[in-house]
This record gives sequence, C-alpha cells and structure tokens, in this order.
Amino acid sequence: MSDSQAAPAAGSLFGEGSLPFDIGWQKLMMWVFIITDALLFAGLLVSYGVVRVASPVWPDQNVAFDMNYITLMTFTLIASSWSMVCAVSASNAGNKKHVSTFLWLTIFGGVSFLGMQVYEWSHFIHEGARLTSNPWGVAHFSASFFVITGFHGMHVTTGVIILLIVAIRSAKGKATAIGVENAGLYWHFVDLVWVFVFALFYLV
Amino acid sequence: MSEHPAESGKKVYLQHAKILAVLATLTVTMIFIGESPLVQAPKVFLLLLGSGTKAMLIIFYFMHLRFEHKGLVLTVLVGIFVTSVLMFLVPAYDGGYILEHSLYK
Repeated sequence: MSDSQAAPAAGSLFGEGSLPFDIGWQKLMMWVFIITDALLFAGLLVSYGVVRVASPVWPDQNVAFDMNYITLMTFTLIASSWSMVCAVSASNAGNKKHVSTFLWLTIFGGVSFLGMQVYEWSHFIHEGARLTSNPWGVAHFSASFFVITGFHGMHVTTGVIILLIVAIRSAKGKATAIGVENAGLYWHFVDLVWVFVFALFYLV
Repeated sequence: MSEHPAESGKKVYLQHAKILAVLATLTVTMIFIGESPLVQAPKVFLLLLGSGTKAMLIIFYFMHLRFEHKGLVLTVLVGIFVTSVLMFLVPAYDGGYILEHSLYK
C-alpha cells in the first residue's frame, strides 16, 4: 500500500493521517467502549424512567434507604475520581512515586464503595426486598434497584481489578502513561454513571 | 497526537481538587433539591440539570476531553445525548399510554 493510501490527506474527515481523532488506537478503543457502555446504562436508566412514569405509586426512597449513607457512598466515589485524575497527571509528568500513591488511594476508594454497596444490598435484602417483590409494594422498585446498582457495582469491581493490575505494573516500572490514562478513563466513567444513578434512582 | 498537560505536583492536584469541591457542592445541592417539597416535574428537571453539569465537569476536566480532537468531543457528547433522548422518547410514549389507560390498576 502506498503512503498516499495509508494516510488520508489533511483536511479529510479525520484529518490526522493514520490517527483518527488524533489519538492512539488504545485510547480510541477505550472511548468507543465508553460510548457503547454509556448507551447500555442509558438503556437501563431509560427503562427505569418508563417504569416510573407508568407506575401510579412509587415508594419514598427516604423510607427505603438511609440517604446519609448513600451520600457517603457518592462522596467516596467522587473522591476516588479525584485521586485517579491526579494519578493520570502524575503519570503524564513521569512522577512514578505519585502515580503509585494516587492509584492505591483510588483502589482504596473503590473497595470502600464496594464494601458500602455490599452492606446496602444485604440490608435491603434483610428487609425483605427481592427481584420480584418487596415490602414497599411496587415490585419494579426493588427490581430496578438490584439491576441498576448491581450492574454498576459490577463495573466498579472490574475497575478495581484493572486499577490493581495497573498499580502492580506501576510498582514494577512496567506501567505506561497510556495504560494509566485508559484505566483513568474507565474509572471516571464508573463515577459518571453513578452521578445519574444517584440522581435518578435515589433523589427523584 | 493530542497534548495533555504534563504537569504534576501540588498545583495540579489542587486544580483537580477545585473540580472535586464543585462536584461535592453540586451533590449537596442536588440532595436538598431531592428532599425539597417541589413538584415532581421541576424537581426532575433540576436534578437532570445538576447531573448533566456534574457529568460535563467529569468528562471535560477529569477525563480530559477538553484536550481532545473536536471530532471525538462531538462523537462522544452528541452520540450519547441524542441516542439517550431517542431511547427515552420512544418507550416513554408507551409508558404514558399505560399510565393514561391505567393498565396498572
């Protein structure tokens, strides 16, 4: 293949030769993944919205949940997002010591969030909530809760595993800046999803 | 390749902390809105506005989308937003129909 075929001319749709959107393939694939995963969560939240619109009654979240506890979970996740962006900044600057510190802080935040979610789930189940029924009368309420927060929790678990791998690789001096950045993109996405879950499920 | 700021140290971490403070403030504000005696429709609107603002802060400042190619920014934002709205509009019509005809009663 000649050079003119391999690299689109400047000013074309991409305009950046062999780098669509002017980024490397790893980051581009991460963004493609994030878009598709965001649409998946959008589908879940939209389904929940339709169920809410169609249900004549809906339980008061303040009765079913401890809102102070949910707020603490939210702050934990936001704070872990801060430590992650600091790790990415440190990685771009080549500050390996700071990368390691912030990555472990982020992992701590993620594990704390998961621990709180496990407690919240067990408390909810202990109160009688199941996928098909619950003491508050509207079956869709607990079904939406388990599906949406469960799916999100699964993403957090995956994020913690990815961060652990990156942190270990960082300690061995094997982690690359793009590796840390992609892990960061994923982690921020997990935080981003929680922003909407928190607002639409717990506050509306 | 797009350039990201290769800065590190307290100054950069504090800049990120400022965004964190704004996110925390928005979260607290949204909790107050959620617990206020407002009618459902404006409450949902305000909460979506708050969530959208938080999402934009995370996307542009934490995910560094503001440093990326304009094409990527448009693909991410317009793609997700337009599809989500379309996704809601189609089944919401059915939801409204179900509510109107009281199929749940």
